[in-house]
Amino acid sequence: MTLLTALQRRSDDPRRRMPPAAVTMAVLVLLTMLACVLVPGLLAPHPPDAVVPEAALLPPGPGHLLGTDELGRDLLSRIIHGSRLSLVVGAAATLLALAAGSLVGLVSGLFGGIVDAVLMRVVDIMLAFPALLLALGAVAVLGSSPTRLAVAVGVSNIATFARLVRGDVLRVRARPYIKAATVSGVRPARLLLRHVLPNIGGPALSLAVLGFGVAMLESSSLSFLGFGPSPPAADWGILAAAGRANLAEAWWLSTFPGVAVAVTVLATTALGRAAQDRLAVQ
Amino acid sequence: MWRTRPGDRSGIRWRMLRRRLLSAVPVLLGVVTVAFGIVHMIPGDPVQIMLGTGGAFVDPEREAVLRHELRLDRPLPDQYLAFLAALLRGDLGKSLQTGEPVTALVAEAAGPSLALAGTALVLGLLLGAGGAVLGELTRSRLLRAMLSRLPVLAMALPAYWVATLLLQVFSFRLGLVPALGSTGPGATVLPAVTLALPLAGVVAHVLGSGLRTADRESYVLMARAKGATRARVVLRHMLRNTAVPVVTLSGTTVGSLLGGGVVAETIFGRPGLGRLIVNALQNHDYPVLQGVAAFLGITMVVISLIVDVAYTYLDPRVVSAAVWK
Amino acid sequence: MSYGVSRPVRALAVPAVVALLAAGCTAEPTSSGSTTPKRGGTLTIATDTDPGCLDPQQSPAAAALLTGRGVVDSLVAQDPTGGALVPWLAESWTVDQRATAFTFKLRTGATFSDGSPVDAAAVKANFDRIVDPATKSLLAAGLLAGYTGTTVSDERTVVVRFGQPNAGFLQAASTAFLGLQAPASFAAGPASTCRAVVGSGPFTVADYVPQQQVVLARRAGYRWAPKFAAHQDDAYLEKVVVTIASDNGVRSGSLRSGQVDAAGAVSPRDAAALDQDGFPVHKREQAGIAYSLFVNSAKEPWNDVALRRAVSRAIDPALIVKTLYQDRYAPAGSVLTPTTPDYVATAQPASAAEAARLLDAAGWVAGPGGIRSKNGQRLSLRWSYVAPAREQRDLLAQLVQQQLKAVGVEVVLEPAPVGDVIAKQSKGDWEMSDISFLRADADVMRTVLQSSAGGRPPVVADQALARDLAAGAATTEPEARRNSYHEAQQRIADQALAIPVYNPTYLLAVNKSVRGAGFDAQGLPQFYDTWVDR
Repeated sequence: MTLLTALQRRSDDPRRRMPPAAVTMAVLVLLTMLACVLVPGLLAPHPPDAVVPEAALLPPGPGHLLGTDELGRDLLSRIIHGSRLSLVVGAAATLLALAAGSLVGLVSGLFGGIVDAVLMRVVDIMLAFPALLLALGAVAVLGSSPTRLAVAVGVSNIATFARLVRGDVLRVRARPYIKAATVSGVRPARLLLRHVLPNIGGPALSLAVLGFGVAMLESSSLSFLGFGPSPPAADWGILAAAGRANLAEAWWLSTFPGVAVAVTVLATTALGRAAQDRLAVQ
Repeated sequence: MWRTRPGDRSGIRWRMLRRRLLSAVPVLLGVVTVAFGIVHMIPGDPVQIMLGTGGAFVDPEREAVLRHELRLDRPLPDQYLAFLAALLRGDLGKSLQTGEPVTALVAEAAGPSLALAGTALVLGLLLGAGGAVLGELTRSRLLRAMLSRLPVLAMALPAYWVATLLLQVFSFRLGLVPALGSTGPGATVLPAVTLALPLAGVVAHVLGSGLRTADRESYVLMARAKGATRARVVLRHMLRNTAVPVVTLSGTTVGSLLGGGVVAETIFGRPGLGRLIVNALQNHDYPVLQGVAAFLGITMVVISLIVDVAYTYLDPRVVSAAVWK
Repeated sequence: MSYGVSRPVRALAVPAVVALLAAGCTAEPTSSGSTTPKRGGTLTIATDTDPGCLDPQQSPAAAALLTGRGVVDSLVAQDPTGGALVPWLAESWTVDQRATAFTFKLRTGATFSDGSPVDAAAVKANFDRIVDPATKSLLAAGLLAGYTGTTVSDERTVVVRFGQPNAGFLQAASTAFLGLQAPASFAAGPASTCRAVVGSGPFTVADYVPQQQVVLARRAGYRWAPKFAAHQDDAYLEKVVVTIASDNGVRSGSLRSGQVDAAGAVSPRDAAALDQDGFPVHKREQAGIAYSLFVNSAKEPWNDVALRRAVSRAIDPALIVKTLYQDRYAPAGSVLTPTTPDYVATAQPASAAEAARLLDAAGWVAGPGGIRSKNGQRLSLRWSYVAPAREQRDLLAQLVQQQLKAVGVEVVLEPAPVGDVIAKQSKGDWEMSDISFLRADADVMRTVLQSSAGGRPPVVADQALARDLAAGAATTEPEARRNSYHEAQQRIADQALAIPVYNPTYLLAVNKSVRGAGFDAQGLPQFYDTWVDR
């Protein structure tokens, strides 16, 4: 929650914009990730589940760029195949949180009064629990298939999105022309469609891109703690957790999956901030 | 400009506080209800799990006795009311696993968790604020550029990755700090750094963007015109004016530090609330789960109250806004 | 937890009645330096699990035994070398013909650390307390199954009675689960002994910080160690600090960097590396149920013995132990480990070809993706195992998944928190499962695999097997027991009711200053004879 709220804040200093080079880099990284999700078989040098006992725990080298695990499976290939789980879960969770959060935020911000008070108290209640623990509880209730993991992570972030979207709605509502429209008797539904939605769509989308990074961190942490999808499928959190067993002998096992998470989060964050910059210009 | 007389302000502050306190009541009730609800929605029968851990020797009679003793044979609404009533008396029940009072378990785990969260909070604020201020003051373009990128990097690193790396390098390779337990201040360093990094990123990011915005505000120009040094302007004027969002963030962060430390606690083998929850989750220890969740929820509600009150001191506009409402 | 089950019952994880026979015990590595034990000093040992509750009468956890063994003494003691039952707090005993009445004559002079005497009344108070439902004993009460009461004949003589034969009781009485505690400590309720067990052992509990550490302090005036101990009187170590670190890497890393003197339950890979770097590794193969897989014979289509046999032949334990454990654990030869009395080798060599032949003959043919099916049903096994797993059992599951896939059987892996796994197992809702369990008595097959108590279906259900196991439990005649248990093991192998994989082995790595390290009869590190040379 904190993370997303922080990322969403930006300065309006034009000198602080994302440099184009960084944006290009981010887009390239994300396109690579997308390729991994779509056609992992083409990119991975080895099958992800091929057990080769003789090749166990090889350090990174020419044959295996990122080394191998205890069963001699190629780590790079496992990371590439794991991207599907990691990224899709993150994206689905973000979409869920965005959709539900926006709905709550819109209703709350538009109707105000008792509706706002009740909804915001509900949001307060959800925010009172650390997101990771809320997601942990949700996984315990729902089970840990990838779909349910996404739901759990999504649910735990609804409140944050609701808060931020409501803030945007209030800002839009405070603009003179909207005030005028309200006073002149434009119905709420019309107000929503004509004036509010177009104005908060952009911020909400950039929020979603930033939220994706947060969801990835959270879902991979859940996987790391052992509440993720089942083997042999392995997302990046599971790969990192599995590497702990042989931390002393094989540093690469837990290092590279974590790097994959960090790089993805960095890239989406850069993109999200670039989107904010564009909005600011408009 | 927006100064009101001091007497006025404290009255308004008190009225605000009262309204805030009242609105916290339904939230508190909601928090404990959610805690109860989630716990009872988790599939699996705690009694069977308890007996299951005992091997294959258990007889049904024993199961019935246990179920009755734990009040698990009563309808859910009854259990809920009993839970609320006991909570009001400050009684969170007893652990299914060990039979110890949950309040004692929570109190015991809260100690190390608070120590860790506190250290991480201080460390995060120092690092974050230091980075942001340095970025604002430095003349080196390189340093400035680096300091404005680092916060996002710090936020993007997964905690489990940072923790594993720190453990590898500082404990195993260099032998600087112990890897085990929470004995002594040395053992708190690495987990605290793990938790402090993203927080420092958040603080630096928020403070940095606030400082840059403040840079063009009229009072800054005025102070500069009066001949104040750049450092003085940043430290005396701008910092105070941009502190509000940082206070909010620190407040909301304490919750995630307290409960969200679970990853660091697991890797560094520290006791704490996060591990208490995971352990209870794995063993379906309802009372402990309920207890920790309720404790964390209530703590957060209280902290956000404190943060709101802190506002009125940091930023007079909050009180004046209340007057004009 | 350390050893035992990971399946229906985590605690099985814990040696029910544990103990170990000599056979699997490797000789202690000899190290140069002083050979005269030194008194004093602190031993810090990192172990993998928090006991949760220190009281072995309540907790089933192996971790509670690890710390509890130094604190409580038992009526009888089992010699780690040879497995014989010898006097401890009881100087002699007799058993009636039917194994329902056990008369113990207590030794004189033994006292609990609170000063009270170890007398007949204390024995009665302990056993009565264990079976009291208020104690919520999770395992010890099961060892006293059929307990009807204890009679105090005189100050030093007690008779423990059972309503049905309990031939395994004597051995059970040698474990810390049935170890004697000071009756006065029971008054404050079960929760208080979870924090501080008061026994008559060479150590007392000085401090317990859950999830962190247990500190044992030496007790002065200890004069009643079992005969097989390397020394009598007080323990050498002044203090033992048992630190809890669930990560393999953290335990071995801490040993290397000198933060601890010993690391328990180290992984075979770590053990190899530590050994090479000059850290002596002590090894103990444990007795009881080998780590085995089970296919639920009560479920369609697995009630067909041909399918179970095919699965059993398709799994290759030799390759598994080579890949995962670098041959530091031995592949299992039977559902019991070789160190268990009445063990008999039953294993057949793995053969994927034979597995495929059996499946073909049963009419299951390969479909899309190589998975076999028959009448539209896929040949698939759901396997819910405990996560986080120890001994790399998660990787083992993935290897098994691959080996079965090679013959056209799909395995769906469902790692889950221990609570969830138990909940499913206890309803009989499982297709494949895994277990290991410590107990140096073949009766473990009856109490763990065959029992249907508590409404839980047995892990293995078979009429002929049930007869063999009942026969073994009802006699104290060694020859008759051996025959029954050999037959039982053959039956389990023939019907493919269990698929044994490896013999669980405890690996304890220490630094060079640690001397006299070894294992108690239960296969867990003991501290009484251990000393530090520095």
